[in-house]
Amino acid sequence: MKNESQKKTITERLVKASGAKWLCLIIGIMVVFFYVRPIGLPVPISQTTKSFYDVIEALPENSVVGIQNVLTPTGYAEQKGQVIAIYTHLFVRPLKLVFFNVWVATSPPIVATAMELVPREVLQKRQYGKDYAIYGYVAGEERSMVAIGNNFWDAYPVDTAGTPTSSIPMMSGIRTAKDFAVIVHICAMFPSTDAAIRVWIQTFKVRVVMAVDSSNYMALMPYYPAIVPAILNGVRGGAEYEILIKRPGDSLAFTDAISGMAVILIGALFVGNVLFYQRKQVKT
Amino acid sequence: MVDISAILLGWLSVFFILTVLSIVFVGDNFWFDISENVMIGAAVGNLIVVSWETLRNTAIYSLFRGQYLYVVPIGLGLLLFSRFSKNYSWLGRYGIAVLVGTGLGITTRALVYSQFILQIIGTFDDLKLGINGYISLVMIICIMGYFLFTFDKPKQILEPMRRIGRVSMMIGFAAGYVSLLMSTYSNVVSNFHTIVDVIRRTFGI
Repeated sequence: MKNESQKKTITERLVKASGAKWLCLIIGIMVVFFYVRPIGLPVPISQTTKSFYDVIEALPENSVVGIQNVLTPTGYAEQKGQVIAIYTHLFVRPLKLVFFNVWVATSPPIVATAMELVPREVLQKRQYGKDYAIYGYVAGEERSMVAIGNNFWDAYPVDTAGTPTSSIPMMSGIRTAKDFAVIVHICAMFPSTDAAIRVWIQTFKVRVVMAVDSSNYMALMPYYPAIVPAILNGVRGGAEYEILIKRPGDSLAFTDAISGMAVILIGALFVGNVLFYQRKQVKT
Repeated sequence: MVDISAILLGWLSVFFILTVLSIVFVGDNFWFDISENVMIGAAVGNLIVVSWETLRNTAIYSLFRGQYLYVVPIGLGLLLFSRFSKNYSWLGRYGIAVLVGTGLGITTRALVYSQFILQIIGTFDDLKLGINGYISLVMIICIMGYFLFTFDKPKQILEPMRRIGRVSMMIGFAAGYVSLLMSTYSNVVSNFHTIVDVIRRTFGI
């Protein structure tokens, strides 16, 4: 017969061991507190975010920008603010935008949701087919990126609405990777960032800027700024970007709670280390 | 005007957030199981729909427009289903071989340059950033020194190098761990924010 500890699921045992109950309660209380009484902690603009903004701002009129989305529901919870801020900035500028999805099948519905959150007054000024086009998902991970780079029309014969690529006016001059001035890679999946560097930067020599979640940011830093000229870092990057485009949104609303969470995290790490050394001393 | 459908969808997401979080407070329970199954079901449903759309929009669409070469990938894809038959399962290996072969070929073509040489270029380029770039370079050299197993001399140089390398690695691991934690907390904060936002929108607070 199984004893009591064996009956519990792995998740249950992990949760019990980590004291997640208390952390969850603290986070909940903090979010409500900062929502009701925002203290407006300062958000300094980091160089990686400023570079992102500068790259988009420096693009000449009618430049073609590929927006490669690798979005997952879990990652989107963190990236929502930055995704909306990037889309808004891209729509504000007179650019030709091509949205496409690779790596994960969850991306297209998330892109559609994010598109609805782009301010109406911004989106209404742009015309589908003339200023932007939205494509679905192509399976094959890194292989699909190569296929898109080699021949966009072959990889995407139709857009999400089923309109043939050949009948979309703005797509007439967009055939291969060489036609993109820059690729904006938005993702929360680490292997896709590596693949984007391999495919777009190394194979097709296209400039790539990246918007990632905090866990991927560290891994990309060795490439900044020589290889990847700009990186947005999770909620923080999103908040900074919202300040730069002068449109406060979701990320800025989280900032106080995230900053408070960072303070608690530092405290927890300190307490953890003290306990560790105390136990070590007792053993010796 | 109040958007009823948006509010209903908002409350549905609040329901799922709370039921998923319930495992933290009351352990495994009926409502958590429901959320778990709904999530898996929705993910699989979405995958099937998106996969079919991909197949229709790329292969089938192109096939009917006279690009008959698409018969080959469609055929290889169909062969994957032969795994369900004991007698013909070997046929599926052709499809897998093409998938693995092309994947490996594409990845390895740029792997060494992008993940090795480009990182070295990036590291030296950081020297332009000033003191931080030099500190980073010293740390990298010391970490490489830590992994020099074949020779042990001169000890006066290698020992301090290895010590700095070890400390540098610990700093790196800690920074990576904290990034991961902050990412997770951001997700949790985002979910709590959704709850507060839905309440605010519903009651117009």
